Amino acid sequence: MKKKRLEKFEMRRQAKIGIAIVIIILVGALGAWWYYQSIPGAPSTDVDTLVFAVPSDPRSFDPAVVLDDSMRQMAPMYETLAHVTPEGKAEPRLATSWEVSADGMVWTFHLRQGVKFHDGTPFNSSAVKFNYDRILTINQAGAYMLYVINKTEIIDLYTIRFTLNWPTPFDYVVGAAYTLYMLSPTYVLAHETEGDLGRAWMDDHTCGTGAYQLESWIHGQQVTLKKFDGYWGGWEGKHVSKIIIKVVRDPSTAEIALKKGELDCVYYDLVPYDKLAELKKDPNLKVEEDRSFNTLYFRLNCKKPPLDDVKVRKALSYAFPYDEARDSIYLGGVEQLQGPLPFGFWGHDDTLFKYTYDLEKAKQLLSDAGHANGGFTLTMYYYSGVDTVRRCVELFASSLSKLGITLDARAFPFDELFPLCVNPDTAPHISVHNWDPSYADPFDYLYGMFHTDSIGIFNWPFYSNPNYDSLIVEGNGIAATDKDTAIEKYKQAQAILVEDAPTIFLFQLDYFRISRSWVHGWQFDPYYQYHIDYYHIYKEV
Amino acid sequence: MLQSTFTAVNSMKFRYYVARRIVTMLIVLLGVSLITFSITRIVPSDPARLWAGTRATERQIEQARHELGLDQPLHIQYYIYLNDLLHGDLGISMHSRRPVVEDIRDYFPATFELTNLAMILAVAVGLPLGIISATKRDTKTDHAVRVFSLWGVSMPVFWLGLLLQLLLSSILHILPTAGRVDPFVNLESPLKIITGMYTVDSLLTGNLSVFISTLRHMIMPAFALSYSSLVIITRITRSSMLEVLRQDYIKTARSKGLAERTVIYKHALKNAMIPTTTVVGLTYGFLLGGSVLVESIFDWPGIGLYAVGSTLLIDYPAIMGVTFLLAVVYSLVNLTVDILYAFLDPRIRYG
Repeated sequence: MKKKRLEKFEMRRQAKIGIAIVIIILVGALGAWWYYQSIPGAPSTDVDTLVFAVPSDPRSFDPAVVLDDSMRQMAPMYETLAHVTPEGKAEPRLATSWEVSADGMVWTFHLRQGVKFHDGTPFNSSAVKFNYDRILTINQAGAYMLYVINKTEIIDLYTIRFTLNWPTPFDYVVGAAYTLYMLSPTYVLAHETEGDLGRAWMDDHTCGTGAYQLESWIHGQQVTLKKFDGYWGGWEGKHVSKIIIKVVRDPSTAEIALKKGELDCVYYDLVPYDKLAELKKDPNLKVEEDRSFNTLYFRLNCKKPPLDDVKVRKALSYAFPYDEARDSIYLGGVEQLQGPLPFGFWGHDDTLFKYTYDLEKAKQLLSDAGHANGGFTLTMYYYSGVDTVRRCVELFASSLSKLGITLDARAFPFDELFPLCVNPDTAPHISVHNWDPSYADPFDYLYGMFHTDSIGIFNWPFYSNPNYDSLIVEGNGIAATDKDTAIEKYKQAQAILVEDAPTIFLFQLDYFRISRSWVHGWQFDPYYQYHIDYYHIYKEV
Repeated sequence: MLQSTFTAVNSMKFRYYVARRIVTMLIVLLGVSLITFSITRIVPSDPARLWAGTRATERQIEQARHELGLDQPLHIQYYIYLNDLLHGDLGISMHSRRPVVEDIRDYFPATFELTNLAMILAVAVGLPLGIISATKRDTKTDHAVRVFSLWGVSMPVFWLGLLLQLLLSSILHILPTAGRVDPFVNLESPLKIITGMYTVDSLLTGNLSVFISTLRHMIMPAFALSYSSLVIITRITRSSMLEVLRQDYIKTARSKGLAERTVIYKHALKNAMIPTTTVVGLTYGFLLGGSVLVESIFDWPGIGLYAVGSTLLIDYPAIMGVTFLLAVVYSLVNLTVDILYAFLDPRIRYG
């Protein structure tokens, strides 16, 4: 009897202790919550700070080595001499005007006066020379764009003259979206160790002429930028003074945070195509679409049988279901290419022949080539990490199987893909490649991907046509002085490519700007997807 | 108990036991270093080319090969690697171009902090649940706990994470979506980084707003991470308690007239804890390796993300560095567990 009463007493005591603990936790939590509410923290509708979500952390802030998506965080701090509009016009930036000699070989640039770097150093022609020399010495990323320079002369404090090795529209080159940025020479040299031209230091530090400066970089999490008060462009009008570029890895996290207002803008590759329709309907969000100059290709190896036969390559060009891919994979967010150049790019030919999805023609061509009913296997390598690319490859495989061709497709990270595709011994029959222009010139596409000298770099088809080569080089030579003739030559060159079919010209991609409705002024650079113009973005509720 | 522990620790047998464990651990680590080294040398990919960059010339690639020491014979490379390891040099990451040790110093504290909270949750909830389940065997409470455990074992961690995020952040707006701290709170009162663990650093510097913000950001990922460990602890505690409660000495204690509470906590629990300690140790070591899924969803930049990222980028030094680090961590945790055993069960000291 006594034991039972004791036990009940014990249990009631235990229950009381349990309840007491729960109450303490609840009170503690409530207290913390209340305290937290009273802490001043700017709401996300703070018009002064922009929170931008991107899927990856930068690798480096040194423009001389950045060729990848690190641009997103790096670019706001730096500027180039010129800037190219989507229509293809080179406009002043750090250079205000320029002249070119009649033969297109000598370019004289007049630099903007009164520009200061973030450390106060004045910008002038010796800074330009210093930077271009530095880029060439480090010799990475887009340094090849400067190989054309033969001689650099400083005429005076604000005038600099370049003599080239061959004629080329140099104003487009200096307006390139990457590498050719201006860093403060005094800052770089002050942080140099063992003659490395500041390479190690400039990975995590910045000193440019751009509108924003680096405030902090928490690796793996976010980069915080703050406005540079001495920016030559001034701060009149509406701008944000702080930018937080957050790394958000998961699309669903990005979506939730965007809807809650924790993020202002989301980089488009965090949002899958099928989510866009839903986001468009949300009144708090803005989804804007623009055509970019980013292009997708299937490169066909012209040295590897049976693709060494142009008929087989043409057959493959008829074997891709362009419309189906556009509608089911990209949900309409792409356009089939007409030739190698994207629509809207100067030099594009609207009259070029365009392949269509036509299995009958494909079968006919295969049979003409001696491969009636296919009966062979093709290897295809593509880069991993992009779902839409994989699905295009799968679609292609199923279409080819209808022709009796087996497709053996494999994915690799791009770093591994590249060495495999440039080596003739390991290169597959077909490779997937995507192109962003280095600078706003058709020559960039036509030379970079199809010229004989580009074999071993981005001429993955090992295509070599001397006619084509001389045509585009001629075009490039007169582009600065006689653009119309250059365009004529480029059009002829494109026609050759369509006829020789060393590549299946797939799509030109659209880019989407997804943001809260209070974000305005987010313009888009079709040349380079990673180049975001933060200076013109502002928030207004 | 303290007295007997004191004598135990000072005994020769105990010291011998610990020494043996340490030596075993070192041999294991050596083996790990050898295996990791071999694997990274066998995989078909040219690190020199990756280091030199996509537009490198043949000469630049050869130069990179020499810089990375890849032109030496394999056993020399291994010797250099081991030598560097003993000096705390894990090499330079090919992706970030920084010493791997620095990368790890950025990412590991985040995992360490999250794992600690997850384990505290797992033990604080799992252990009592296990005890209750065992003492109230076959009652409704027991069944409820067992169903709860089944969910924990079956639910994929990323799904749980997404659900939590959806419910608590998106719908109820109680907790923030992702990240380690609110960027605006951090702007108002910036956190000074000392250890890399935001909770510790904010307490050390008296930064209460960041501390609270960090805790709010930690709750969901810590819970998602802890759930499966929690239920394993529950199940193990339950079954080992049941095992122990069946023993004769428990019957003796009861018949002596001791209160049920004393019987359970003083006599049964101590012995039941041995399998539980094993499990806690194993899961702690495992969780310290980071969970790339939880870290991705909640943008918690931990060692899991770093390890997977390095693997995808074929960043050899980073991969080897992380693998070795995790081997060391895991070995230390197991060593600690082994030593704890000796306290819990005197019989093991002499084993």
